[in-house]
Amino acid sequence: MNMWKSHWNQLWRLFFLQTSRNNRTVDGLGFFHVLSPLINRWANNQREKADISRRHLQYFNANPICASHVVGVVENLEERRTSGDEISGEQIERMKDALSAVITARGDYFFEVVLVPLGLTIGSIFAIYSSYVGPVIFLALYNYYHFQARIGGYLKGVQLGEGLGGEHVTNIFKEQGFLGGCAAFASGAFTALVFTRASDMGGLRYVGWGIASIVGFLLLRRRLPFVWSVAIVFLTTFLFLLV
Amino acid sequence: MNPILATSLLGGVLALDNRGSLKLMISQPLCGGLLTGIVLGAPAEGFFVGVVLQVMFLGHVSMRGESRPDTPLGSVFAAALYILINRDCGWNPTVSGLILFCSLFLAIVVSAIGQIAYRWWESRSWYFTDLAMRYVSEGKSSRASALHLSTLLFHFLYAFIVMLVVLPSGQIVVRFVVSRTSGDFSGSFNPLYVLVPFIGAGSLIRLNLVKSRVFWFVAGFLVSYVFLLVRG
Repeated sequence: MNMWKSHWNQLWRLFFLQTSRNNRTVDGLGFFHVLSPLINRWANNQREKADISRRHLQYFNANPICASHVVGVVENLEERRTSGDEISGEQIERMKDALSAVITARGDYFFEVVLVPLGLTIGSIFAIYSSYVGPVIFLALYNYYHFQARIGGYLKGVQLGEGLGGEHVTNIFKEQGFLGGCAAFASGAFTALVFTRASDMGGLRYVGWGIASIVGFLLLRRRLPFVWSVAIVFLTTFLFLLV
Repeated sequence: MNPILATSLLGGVLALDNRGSLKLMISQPLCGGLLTGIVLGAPAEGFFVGVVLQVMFLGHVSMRGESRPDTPLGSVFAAALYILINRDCGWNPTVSGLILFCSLFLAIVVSAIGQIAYRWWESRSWYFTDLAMRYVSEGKSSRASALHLSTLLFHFLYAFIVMLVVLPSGQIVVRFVVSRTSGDFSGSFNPLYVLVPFIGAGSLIRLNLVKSRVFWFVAGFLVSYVFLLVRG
């Protein structure tokens, strides 16, 4: 309970880390915003406060969910620096950069390629049968890992400091392989469902159009952004129904 | 409350989830359509539109902060348009396919414009960091910190204003299209919701065409296909 109380100020801020994302410093301002309540405690005078603030306002780019690990580690190092450990600002910056790169690679793949498509595919399969269970399953599955990474990752970072960089990062999201297989299986199930529904409603004509849509989409995606590929295939489907 | 104002407020709130990095995922079309339906008193219809939009964008992956289409706003817009126009037409089944097509097409346009708008915003919003740096140098840290939170207002207002402007205009356009063409194509667009998921299937195939996953994709396809055939 005490742990929650003392970290509450950082925890809620972590959920808004990416709000001021920009092309130059990416989430630098967001990173500063999370740590800003602690900076007064870390600085002995106004000049040091400005120095620490400027340091944490610099470039920061990490997966917004996994960034909490980095915030936790930086907090741990700054606390130890304040209590007299020989840790320089440059060391903290180096740790921050290295950990951001590693953790973002893991986090982007796990959340964007595995978890979100898995949750949405399962959710959509249920939703196609007009079941409200779909969104519930998706939200439960996604947010279980989301909260674990955001809150658990931050607390782990505060607890372990630079120790988080080794074994913990290697073992993070260890269900990735299994869930990746589940996501592929669910995608296959979704595709089968789409084909059988089209076959039931319009026979070979609809199935043939479905195959043409898939091939067309795959070819368009080699050249065009996702949204334009979707728009073109959607419009051609409209023309198909019109004719 | 006025339905346009209510859906605009919902669009603004969902933008906080999507762009404000809250990332609870309630802004995904699967949930956004349902929420719009609840707000407008037609949850089943809102959910239906949200799902159709969601399945088109199923396999979309955005890595390393790459900008993504604004489908959360698109889903609120599509669901609201579909419900409001259908309500005007007395839920006439012969025109609902055409209304669905128009709503989804305009939603894709809104999503694409949203993506462009946020790319523009990200190329300009470093101004806030510059200003924060100046405040920090002057010893006004709390003001610098508040600057970050103030950008939430931009995300809310962008979605709120877009909905407030685009939804009434969309209603006029769709009403015009329906009144001019409904007699010619009565019912022809009703199977749209069966064909549109092929786009999602295409994007999922693309996502799973890697050595480690293709086996499970094919297994999922075959097992489900046989199951669906046996079950009838």
